Amino acid sequence: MVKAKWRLALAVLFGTGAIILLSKVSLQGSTTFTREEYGHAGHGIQLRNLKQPFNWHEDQEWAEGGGGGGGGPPGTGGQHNETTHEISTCRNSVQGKMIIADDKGFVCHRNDVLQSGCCHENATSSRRYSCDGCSESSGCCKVYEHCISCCMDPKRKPVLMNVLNEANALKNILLLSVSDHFELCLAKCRTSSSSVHHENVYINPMDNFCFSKGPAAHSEEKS
Amino acid sequence: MHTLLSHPLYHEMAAQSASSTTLSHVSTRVEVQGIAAAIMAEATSTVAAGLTRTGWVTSWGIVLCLSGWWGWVGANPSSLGAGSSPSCPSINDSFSAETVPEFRTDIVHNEFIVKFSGFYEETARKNYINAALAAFDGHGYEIIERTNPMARYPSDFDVLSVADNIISQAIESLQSHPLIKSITPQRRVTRTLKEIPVAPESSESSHPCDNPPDPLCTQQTPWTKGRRSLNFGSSFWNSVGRHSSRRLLRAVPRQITAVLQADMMWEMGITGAGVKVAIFDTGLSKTHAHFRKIRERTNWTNEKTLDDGLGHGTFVAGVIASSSECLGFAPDAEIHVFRVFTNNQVSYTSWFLDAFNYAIMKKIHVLNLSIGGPDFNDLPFVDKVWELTANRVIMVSAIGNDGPLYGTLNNPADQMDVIGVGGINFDDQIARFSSRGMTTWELPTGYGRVKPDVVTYGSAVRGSNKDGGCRSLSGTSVASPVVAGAVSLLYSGVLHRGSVINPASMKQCLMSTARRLPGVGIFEQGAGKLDLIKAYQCLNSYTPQASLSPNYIDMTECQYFWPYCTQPLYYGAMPVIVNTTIFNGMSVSGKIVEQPVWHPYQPQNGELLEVAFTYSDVIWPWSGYLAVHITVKKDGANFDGLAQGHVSLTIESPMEEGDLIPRVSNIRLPIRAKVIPTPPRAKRVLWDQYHNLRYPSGYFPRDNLRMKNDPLDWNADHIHTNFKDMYMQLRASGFFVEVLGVPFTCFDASKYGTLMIVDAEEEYFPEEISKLKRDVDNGLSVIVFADWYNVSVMKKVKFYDENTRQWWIPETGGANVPALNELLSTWGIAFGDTVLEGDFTIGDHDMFYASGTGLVRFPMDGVVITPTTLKDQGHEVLGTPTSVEENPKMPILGLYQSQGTENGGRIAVYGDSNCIDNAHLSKDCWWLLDAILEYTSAAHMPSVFLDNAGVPVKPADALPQRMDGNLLHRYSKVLQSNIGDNQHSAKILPTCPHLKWVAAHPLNRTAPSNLYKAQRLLSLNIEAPLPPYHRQELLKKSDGIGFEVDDWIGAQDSRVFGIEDHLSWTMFWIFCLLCGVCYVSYKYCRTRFRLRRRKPRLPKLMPAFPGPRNI
Repeated sequence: MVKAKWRLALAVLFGTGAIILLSKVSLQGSTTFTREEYGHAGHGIQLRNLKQPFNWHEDQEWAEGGGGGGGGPPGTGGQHNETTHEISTCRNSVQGKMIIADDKGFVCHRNDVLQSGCCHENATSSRRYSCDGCSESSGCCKVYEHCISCCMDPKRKPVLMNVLNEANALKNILLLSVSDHFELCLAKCRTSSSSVHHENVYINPMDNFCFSKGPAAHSEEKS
Repeated sequence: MHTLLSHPLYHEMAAQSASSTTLSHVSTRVEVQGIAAAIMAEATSTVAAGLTRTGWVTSWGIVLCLSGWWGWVGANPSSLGAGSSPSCPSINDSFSAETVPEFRTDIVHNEFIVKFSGFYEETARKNYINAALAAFDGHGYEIIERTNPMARYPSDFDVLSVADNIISQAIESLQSHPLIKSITPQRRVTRTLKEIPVAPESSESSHPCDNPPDPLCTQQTPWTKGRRSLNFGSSFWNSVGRHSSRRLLRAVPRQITAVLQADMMWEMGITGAGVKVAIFDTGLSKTHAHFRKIRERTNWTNEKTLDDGLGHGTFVAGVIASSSECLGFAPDAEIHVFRVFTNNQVSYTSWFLDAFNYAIMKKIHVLNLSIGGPDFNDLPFVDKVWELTANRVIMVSAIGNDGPLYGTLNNPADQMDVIGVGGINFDDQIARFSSRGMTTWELPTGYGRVKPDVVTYGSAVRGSNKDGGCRSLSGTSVASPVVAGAVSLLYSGVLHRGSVINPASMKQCLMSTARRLPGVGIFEQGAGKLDLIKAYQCLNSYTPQASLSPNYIDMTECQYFWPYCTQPLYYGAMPVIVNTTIFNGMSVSGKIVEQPVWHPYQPQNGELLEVAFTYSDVIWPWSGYLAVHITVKKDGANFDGLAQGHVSLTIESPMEEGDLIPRVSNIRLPIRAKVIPTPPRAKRVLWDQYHNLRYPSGYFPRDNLRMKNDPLDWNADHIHTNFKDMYMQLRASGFFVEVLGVPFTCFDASKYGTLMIVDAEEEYFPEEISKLKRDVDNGLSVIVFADWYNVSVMKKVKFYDENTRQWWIPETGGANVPALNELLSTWGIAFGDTVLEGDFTIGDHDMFYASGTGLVRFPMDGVVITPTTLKDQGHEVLGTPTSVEENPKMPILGLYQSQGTENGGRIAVYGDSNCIDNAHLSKDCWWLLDAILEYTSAAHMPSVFLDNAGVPVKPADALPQRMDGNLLHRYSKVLQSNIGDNQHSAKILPTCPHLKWVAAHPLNRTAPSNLYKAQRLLSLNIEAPLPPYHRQELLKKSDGIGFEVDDWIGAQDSRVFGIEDHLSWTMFWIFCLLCGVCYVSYKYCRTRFRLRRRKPRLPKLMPAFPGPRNI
């Protein structure tokens, strides 16, 4: 019986150790969770790989006029979230001088942004999937917010898949850290290292904001 | 490879790197290095860690410098004249007169430091002293007890207080003791101050003109005192350590956080938790012991490392968030390390762009940029900084280390949306290195904005060392993280206020609560010294609103409103422009509703002022400008006195969360100006700003070819930047100086005695040339200060800029001599292309000619001065052999009375501008300027010129030509396209701008005598006790578990996915443990089972179990 007690004690010891370790791991998991809010998962800089689920924006029933373009194939599991987003609040492009683009693909005047952060859909200034000032061939726009709106169009999914593929190949931390369609558009449309030549000059001052490959492809002519 | 062209600042500081990358186009480079090295060797308490930049043009230097390095050549205080004093000099004067001598006699007098030959315990030391002073029987002296922790340890000295009557005997007795090494008078400052009845510190607490409001202070203007000083302003007072004897031993506080009272915030439980602070620098080691929460490290350079190889990034991070030894402000803030500088101090705009994008996505709260460069025309970068601010990232950046020269602000700190931080030392004086002066974006037509925004300690601050421990560093690189750390701490204390805290509200609170330093101009200190606690109170009670900075305009208040307070307004003058910055805490975007309104105060002659406005169409991001143009109406042509009123404006922003109507804020901007009767024509000098071109963006080379590490002319050549001393000199001589920011065709020459064209790089419209001829015929005099011009030299000083990856060839020489020659051809005057340099004398005046040009054509009836000792510097630069003793004998100064009409003006030309330019001033020539002005304005030829006149010039056949293929037209306001073969292709002459003076809405009221105090942010209660802070909230936010660091080394590295290794290791250990647990449980169960049923098998399994068995 003495032996049995010893064994019992040791077993308890091991068990406790295991529980402590496991609890620690699970707590780390919870910090990871908070981090996901900021757009990338896992610890360490874990970049998205293409097998991970991605919330593609989908056309909703009231998609009038603007977009229309048949909605891409169903995203992997983002649909539910998307709906709750629509009901409650929108994320938007925050920074705009005069106009704002929201995560439903609307672009509108600042004055027409609702408390929820969404564009007022019926406001005269509101446009959905607006590609004003965007060039279909280069995939670049004159205005950041229009770039986002244009990029949110579900029919851009193939183009954006290419962007993600390329980002994956280049291990572009920014584009691989985004978690959904809107974040991808926010990030991709910004000017970046691929927007400049000689470091301090825009390659294409008029078409700076690109949702597809970028300006370098068609106008960089460095000697 | 191109350190030759790197900035001196970065250059000198980075001793090792600079010397290891030497490349000399010119042979004299070694000297410069040598000086730097010598200075380096002398610096003791600080470590050099500044950075050099490989190229000039778009690169970003890390703004850090040696506190001990006074490398600026022109800053010889002795050359600045004596008795320089601001217009409210009483404080400063009494300061020096009373305290300094008293210090020397008082302190020494009854306290002594008794030094022992070894280290002894306190009791032992006491015994020795008692033994030595046995004769006094313990009376008349006292060992001053030390209460610091060191008192417990053996020491080699004691402080002894001795009664007056026994001093000499006591010293004698002590000296005879064998273990006492020496006795020296005590010199502790703290003690002295007690004995000085007029406590000098009190003057630091408030502006001398603040309380009580002194009419002398507010109305006195410097020129009425007839001072001869150059009024170098505070930089003079501050730089030479005027009170150094008194302040020498003032203890430098160990912790920067303690000086700013961050401890008070910590005690409330505010430690930075919940705030994400990004450090854009040279990286940071993951394992550095000072940091608790390195949240993420990313590398944006082409080097495959995340660690800091220089120490700059570690230091900066330490000041922000170190949690041990040398403490940082926000130890619990999440640190996001962005490595954007390589160990070789290389950085590119494109790296920044990508890193900035990532920072936006990460929703960083506070971003520190201890970097800067002169290129505010780097549009992609500037746009991106705006974008960051628009995304609510609070940007904090160092204003630059190019002081004390004016016009040296660095980008991005000079942007309205960025908190630009200047440096002070622990004596509350602007640190000499701190960049200053107005922004130069707005020139030539407008006027610069006020920068820096705030100042804080940036000299000899202790922070984390790369390899552990602490060290001391100086530079605005240090001041910037002090503010960034403070901002992070503040932010974490007001996280509960949500979207109320934004870049504008933070900046408004920092600036409105900053403490103004006395006797220091607004273009040196901005709003003043950071006050952390008051800023916290401000943020706690802040309501979204818009405000202006400066929030009042008192053109009579010197020194703060330098240069506005140096020259009164008068009828007929070019409008004075005050460019205020609007901060809009209501929303990222806003606009001025309708128009600002001017309310003159009838009882205070406000109606004599004429006011116009120019302002931002859209106030974005969070900030905009409102420039107030002020001049005097004709009614006031003979008025002498003050005129007052205020401007009111309304700012509107779209609705934000919780609003039902758009947000609106009303602002009032009080104005007070001194008006005098219009001075006579002869006393009025017009400074041509329109024809000055500078970097950025074009390559306009330096005016002194010897200054090889400062290749560009970038200080804007304005009377309030690098020609500041000249301006003050002219003011002291009684001249009134106005600035012409438009073509010559747009001013009324009949009002001015002299037009000054100094160091002009621009071309001239044909209309300007003919207008100027008419003006001279009608009595306008012209002074031209030219500079070197030689096409071969220009080609020689080209350089390959690694940042833009292209060759940089100057667009002109120091000045645009071919253009000047066209302008002056009417009078038969022309400069040549020989580059002259050397010492010479005119009369009994020693002069230095630093890379100038000479006259090759001048009218025979003019007076010229031809020194014989100047060398041809062009040969030296080009490396061509010169024949011995063959100095070019060219006239450098010419004075000519135009003959066209009876009362025609005079022309004075001089071939070098360096002696009136602060930028590289080695020997000033104020006397020469005075003498020339005496000639041009009073038509009196000074005898010094007549006595030293040389032989007339034999007119040269050929004149210098413009360089083939130059790209001046890209930067010129005049040229349409390139000038080939001297063919002009000027643009259409722009129409002269006309300001729209606003209608006045007079009020029957008077302004308070002190505008400063009357202005505060609205509804703020910063005098209230600190509000309680909810620690609960804080604890909830900070997670107690060890922080994991996220690393991303760069796209090139496969370790991007290295995190999976990390995970798998964890899993491996869990698996092992689980196995162990399973095994043990299995064993246990088996054991129990067997005990009951199958005893025989038991021994076979047991050996595997490490139990206490005896089998």
